[in-house]
Amino acid sequence: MVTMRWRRTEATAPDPRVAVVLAAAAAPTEPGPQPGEAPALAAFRTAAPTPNRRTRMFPSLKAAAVAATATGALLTGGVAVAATGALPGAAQDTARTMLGTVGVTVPGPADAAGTHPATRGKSAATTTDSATAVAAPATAAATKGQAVSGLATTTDATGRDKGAAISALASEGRSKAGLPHPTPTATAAATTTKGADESSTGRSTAASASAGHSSTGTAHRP
Amino acid sequence: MREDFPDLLAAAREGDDAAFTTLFRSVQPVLLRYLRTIGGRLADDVAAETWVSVVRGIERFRGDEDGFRAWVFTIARARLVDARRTAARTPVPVDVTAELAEMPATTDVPAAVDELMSTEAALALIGRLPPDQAEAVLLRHVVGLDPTQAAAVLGKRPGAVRIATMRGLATLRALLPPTAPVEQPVPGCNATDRANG
Repeated sequence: MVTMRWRRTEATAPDPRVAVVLAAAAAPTEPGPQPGEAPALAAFRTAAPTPNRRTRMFPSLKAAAVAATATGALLTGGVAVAATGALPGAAQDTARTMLGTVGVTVPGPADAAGTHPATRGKSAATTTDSATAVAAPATAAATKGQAVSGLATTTDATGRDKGAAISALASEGRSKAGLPHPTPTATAAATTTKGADESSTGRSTAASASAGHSSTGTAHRP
Repeated sequence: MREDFPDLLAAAREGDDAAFTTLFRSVQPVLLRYLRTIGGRLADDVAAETWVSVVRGIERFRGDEDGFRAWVFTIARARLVDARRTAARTPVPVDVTAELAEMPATTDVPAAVDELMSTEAALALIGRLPPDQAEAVLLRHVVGLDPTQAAAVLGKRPGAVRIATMRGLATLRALLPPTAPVEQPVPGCNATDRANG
């Protein structure tokens, strides 16, 4: 049993009257409950050490258990949905990648489509045909170019004849390069004569040029 | 309580009400005397706040019984400083000097205490000392702390506490009115001798 201990740090007081005062100030109290004991004990029980603390920790543990259960349910459900391939494309791809790291195999985003992509919209065939169609002219063009180049470097022709030969090959015969131009002599002479006559006659130029339809040179009507 | 203190402290840390009650009853009486003398009407509230802090920090406390008492008083003084910031100190208006002047001194101090002065009156007289002297006298002679522990509570050096205590006792003597010639105490005549007959 613990008893109250009252100590006097100084054995004697300098004055007997002062000693009386000090002894009165330090007099023992009545044993039993002290003022303020009930509130202090209540505070002790509230902020108490181990027993009550375990009680206070229970709600936290319960909340943690509920959270863990919910998380587990979500993970399980997510894996199940991923295993059926029912997730949206990107999510299914992510799930496949992540689960693959832990050894779980789930379908990819396109696996659920079966053979459908093979017949979908002929896009694949079209793409292939287009590629072929594009590649073939490219090959023909290269061959034609080589032929034209070979002709240009090997022909013995020179000048206009060489250009005509190359153009004919490059245009596949549609080029008229090298063909003789129409003789401009008669036309030029006629034009010259006509111009000379018209210029000599002055006002007759317009009439001659218009074959009589022009009114130039006629008297103006009032 | 010194021998049982470690067990009591360990039990209180484990939530044992009886152990905490024992610790409380060993400190609370002198805690209230200290607070009521220097804190006036703030004493009870400050004491309650002190114990709230004690129960919150008892797991962190390390030390013996004297250290525990000094720790509690350190908390109490800090709470009192906080309380004083919002409330003015109200001194205890008790005048016992006239009554003391009428009574002759005696060699039997405990008997004189019973006859002359109540604890409240003695504390009121100490409360008339300058604050630093009153605190030093209370912690040294009422609470029972040694100079080092009292210095820790007051935030001073032990030498400063000794000086404040000596000055407080001198001031206390000066407060007492002159009396009839006083018999000097007879060595060996104390409470223990009186109890033993």
